[in-house]
Amino acid sequence: MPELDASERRAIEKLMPFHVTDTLDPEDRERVERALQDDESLRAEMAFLEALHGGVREMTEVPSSGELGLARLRRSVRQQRRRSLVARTLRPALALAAGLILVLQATLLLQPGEDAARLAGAAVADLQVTFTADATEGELRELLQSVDARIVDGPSAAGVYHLQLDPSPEDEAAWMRVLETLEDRPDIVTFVERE
Amino acid sequence: MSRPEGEANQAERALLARIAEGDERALEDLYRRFEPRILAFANQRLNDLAAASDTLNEVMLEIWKSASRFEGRSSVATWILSITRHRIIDRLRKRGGRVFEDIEESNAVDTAESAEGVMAGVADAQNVRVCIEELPPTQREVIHLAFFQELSYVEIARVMDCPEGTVKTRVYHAKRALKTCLAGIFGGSPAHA
Repeated sequence: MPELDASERRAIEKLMPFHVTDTLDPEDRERVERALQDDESLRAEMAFLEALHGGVREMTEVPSSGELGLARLRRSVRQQRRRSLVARTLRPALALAAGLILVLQATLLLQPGEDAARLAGAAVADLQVTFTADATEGELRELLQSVDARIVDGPSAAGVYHLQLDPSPEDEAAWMRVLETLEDRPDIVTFVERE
Repeated sequence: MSRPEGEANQAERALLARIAEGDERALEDLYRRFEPRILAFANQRLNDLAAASDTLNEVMLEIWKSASRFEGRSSVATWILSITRHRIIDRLRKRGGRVFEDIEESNAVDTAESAEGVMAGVADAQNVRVCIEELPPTQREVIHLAFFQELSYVEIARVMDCPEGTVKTRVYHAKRALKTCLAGIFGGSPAHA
């Protein structure tokens, strides 16, 4: 085989690191192997790259964070789920609030004598939940009492219960605590959402 | 050029599909598969294992949120390492340091190193570490992606968002700089800078 010209040699040298890691396509791999057959200096270069490959792998290994890292990820996922849940449930609540304001304004304009405060107080804070089939009455009672909730409607055909919270949560943090408490019992609650 | 899709990649795609449906167990399986690779990639650039662990958590959480957006145009590993790289860049920017710079061609000194010195030097991982740490960040990164992550140059180009030819050139210059450094450690000619 004729000696490689400088340009071809450089092209081969650029492919060789990827020959070491076996990531070349068949055409490039054959091109490198053909060049290696007749060129001792390229074979020496390949020996260097193989040693470098081993050295890089050895020096780069980092200790695994193991179960601690996994536990942290689980917490992050749960937080993410809660944030999504709150965002999802806030949207209809905000829409409802906006709608109520419009109704209130229209009512005040059309019926200035009407008691507007009564209308504003008509919004009821409650939840929709579904329970696992094997949850016992005792478990449900204990869980609902822990969040000051009572069943005001249901079950629907789909098994959905409507809960009223008394007192109604005062702020978002209180809402989060209620949702977290219910979500933390997947053995009892299969679904929970603000109405 | 691309490697034929291996069994590993098919399994990883299946995991992503399950993650997109909210399967936490699939996320944990993917975590176990990719933890060493993500940690190593982040640590080689951030040089801080705690920050690398934070990056790992962020990357996995991003996968959890965006698995449905994986379009399958690259391997799962390439997609995940691209996410990792973006997270690394965010952290470096917050630190206020240099993020990436152009390749320092001056590193690629055209020399005739002692072959014995180079081979003796590369046989010791500690020497390899010393010399890799002297490389500019871009070269360090490309060596990591080629030799530790074992990505093809096509995959590295996707992760680094640069042309394939640039990847090959960066590896080439990095390798030359490493040879010069390793020969220098063993008293070869010339000594590394």
